[in-house]
Amino acid sequence: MATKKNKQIQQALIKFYHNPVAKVSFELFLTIFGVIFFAIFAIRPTLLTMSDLIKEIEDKEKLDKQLQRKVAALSTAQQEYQLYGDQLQLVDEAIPDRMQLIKTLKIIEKIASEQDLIISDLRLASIPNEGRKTLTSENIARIDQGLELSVMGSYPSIRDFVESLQQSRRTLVANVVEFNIKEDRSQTTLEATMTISIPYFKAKNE
Amino acid sequence: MSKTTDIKINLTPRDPFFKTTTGKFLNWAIKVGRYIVIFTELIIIVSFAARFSLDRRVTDLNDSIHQKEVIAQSYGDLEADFRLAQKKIDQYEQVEQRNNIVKIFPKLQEIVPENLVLENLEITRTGITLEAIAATNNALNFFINNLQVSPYFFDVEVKKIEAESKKTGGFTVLVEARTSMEVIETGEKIDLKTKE
Repeated sequence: MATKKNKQIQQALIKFYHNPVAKVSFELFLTIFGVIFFAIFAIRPTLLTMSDLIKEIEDKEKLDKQLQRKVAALSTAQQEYQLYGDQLQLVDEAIPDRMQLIKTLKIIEKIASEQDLIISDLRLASIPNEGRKTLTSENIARIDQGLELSVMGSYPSIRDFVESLQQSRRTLVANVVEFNIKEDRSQTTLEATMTISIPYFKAKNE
Repeated sequence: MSKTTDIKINLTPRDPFFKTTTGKFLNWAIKVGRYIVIFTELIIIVSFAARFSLDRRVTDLNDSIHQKEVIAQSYGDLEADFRLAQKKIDQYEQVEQRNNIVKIFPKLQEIVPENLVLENLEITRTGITLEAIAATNNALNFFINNLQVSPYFFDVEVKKIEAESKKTGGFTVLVEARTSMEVIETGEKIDLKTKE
């Protein structure tokens, strides 16, 4: 009985595999498999390489253009630098790289003496630390050192003193000027108290 | 008219090899498989040919970039020095643009009458505060009027007017006003209506 059943199954299977639909499926499977195989292992790496290459070219073209612009800008900058290089020391003199406290105070003292003014009081909130770091365009910072100054003299002298401070090569900015009349032992004197900003450059985090 | 029909009869028996899996595979490979292989090879050959020109462009670009890098390096520290100088000039310009209080002095002198004595005067970059003793009522009126019509001062506020002792006479006045630095800097007088 069992052998008869087995034979019947075998015949059914043979009939099924002779069926044309099964034959086409086998070829279709091979075709799909072949397409996928070649697409993954042959076409994909080739196209990837090509796209990488094209991207590399685009990036390098961009870089090349940027470098071209940079070279042109450097050339112009060099011309400008040579043209105005001598005047840069004026900027350094106006706002120096260090506070140069003593030099600045001497400038103020000189201007005051030129106007026949007596410096009665001079106050600094703190003595600035003379930095040592080399200044670069990235780390440069401007510090405005405050200075409180009191002078005694005539109104025109004080006015000229403030004007001379403003016109000094070393940048000194008068923020507030306060005039007071002081009476002392039947003598009347005019005193001016002023707040002055003394800008200087310093490296950040110094 | 009798119809003719083409009937093809193939009496050659099929090779049993083509019924085996290997046979079927070979049969597929020479029919469909070859087209797939040819198509794949075509793409690879085209890309291989294109690579020549692309590689050439990459080499040219590398040369060009290297050349420009060398030129840029030949400028040495110029770029750093230039950038530093630019920053310094920018900062200097910022400081210079601040209001210059020196210019307020002559403008103030213009409006103070002779018989008005300034007791206390504070000049800042934005305004003035002054305490003065006016000898006469006229001097006080003249001063306040001058201050109000002056194009260089605005928001004039009279904080205090006090009569001085009978001995000395006159009035003590405390005035606050804001300065119009724009007008002072340019020296152009503006219409009072527009100023308000």
